[in-house]
Amino acid sequence: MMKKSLILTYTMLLFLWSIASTADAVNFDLKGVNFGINGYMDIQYKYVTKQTKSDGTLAKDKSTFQQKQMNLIFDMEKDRFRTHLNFESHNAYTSDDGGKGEWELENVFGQYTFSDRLIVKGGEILTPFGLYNETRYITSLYASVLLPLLYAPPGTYSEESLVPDKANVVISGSIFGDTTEVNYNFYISNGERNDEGEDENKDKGYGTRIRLTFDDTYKLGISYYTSKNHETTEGRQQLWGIDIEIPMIDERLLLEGEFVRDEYKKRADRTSYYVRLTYRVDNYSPFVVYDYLEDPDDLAMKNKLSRYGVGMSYDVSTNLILKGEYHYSAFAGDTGLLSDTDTAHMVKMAAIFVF
Amino acid sequence: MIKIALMVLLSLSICLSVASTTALAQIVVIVNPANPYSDISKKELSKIFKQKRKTWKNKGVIHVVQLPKEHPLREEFSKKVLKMSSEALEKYYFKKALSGKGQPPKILSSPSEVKSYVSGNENAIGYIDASDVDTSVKILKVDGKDHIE
Repeated sequence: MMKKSLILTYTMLLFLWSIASTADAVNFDLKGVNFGINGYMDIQYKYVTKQTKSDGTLAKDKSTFQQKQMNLIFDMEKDRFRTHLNFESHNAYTSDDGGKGEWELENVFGQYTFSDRLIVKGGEILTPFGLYNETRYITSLYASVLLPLLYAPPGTYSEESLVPDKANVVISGSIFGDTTEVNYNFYISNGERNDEGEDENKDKGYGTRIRLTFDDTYKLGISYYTSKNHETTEGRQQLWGIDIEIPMIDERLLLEGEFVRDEYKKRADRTSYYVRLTYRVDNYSPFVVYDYLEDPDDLAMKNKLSRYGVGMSYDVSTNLILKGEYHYSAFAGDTGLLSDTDTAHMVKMAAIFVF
Repeated sequence: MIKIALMVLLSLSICLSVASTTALAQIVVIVNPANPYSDISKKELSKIFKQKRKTWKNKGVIHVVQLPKEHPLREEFSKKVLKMSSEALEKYYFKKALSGKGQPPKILSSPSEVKSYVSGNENAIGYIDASDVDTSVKILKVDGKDHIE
């Protein structure tokens, strides 16, 4: 299986290499309207040891090759008005089962810019919470293939990511000072869907994100979200987040960190944070990361998951990025289904083509 | 004899370095003559070309025009104003486009096309070599100076 996966990976790499030098984003004007088409696709290879299933039992070591994600992004701009559509395809191919390959409309909104200080968006919008949530699937732009645990916990985790999914109305803007820039977002979203997938449209979520940029360099973000979902079982949820981005050494070294606490009335609180250090030298971006997730109510994942990672991203060109990384996960605590000594290793490689 | 040869080589290398320095373009920022602005700070200019600032004060949406990423003027402009390479800027624009924050600026293939676009668009801004400027566009001073330093 592993050999076949590697051959497929190699073939796909050659294919991407051949088109990377010719393909580019499409941008054109038609009767004063600016149209833009962008996109990206990835191929990934993953090798995981001792993967835990959601029922707590252990699966064998596993290697998977997949074309995991492809996004097609359409923009249309005319003066102050803009529309944006993001179509996403998941798992078009996996070496496990061939892949189901489903498309969905990930993001669609209309936007009106009154001024830099006031921009209004309406539609299905990725929630502006934290560093990655507005761009959480854009793996081509960051050194690591894996997103932090607070955005994308492992598949074995029984709960969803800590950060909220979609917002429906967002009011945002930027205020520029001499040395400080303030970006703000206020948003309203429909509450979570019920078990049948229906949105009863009564439990709204409200949130805000404020980000300060000092000297056009250092960034500090604060996010807050509250909703009244699952009132009978969990009560009101409050989610707090703080994040930093600190570039150093002529912006070659980037320190990113984020802390999130998810508070419920009738359920154990959840906590997650990560710290990542990325060094950029020419086209290479080596990085180290420490990531942590704590959820006392999750049985399979136990109380605490610590994930240590080291990896490298290499920009072959603006259009083609190669990544390779290793992650070590350690579970701790004594209330879960796994023993205290459980660990998992993961190697992940990816080629990402941006156009 | 060797001394003379070394002196000649040294003189030649000095001449070459001076020549290459003076050959660097004098970049000027241009706007439409109807644009009321006449001066801008380098910081503000950076915000405009990084698409952080999107509207003129009490005016319309700013139409930024760029040269292709391989163009030497763009490389020099990117380094002097945006403090990044032209390649890094391309990645920056990609990031904004892919995260739903807006399309990259319009790319025009030559400075003469930039000048022509700016002269016909009241809200446009671009940059060209000082030697290409004529009355169809207005120079926007940067930190009080005609060209970017």
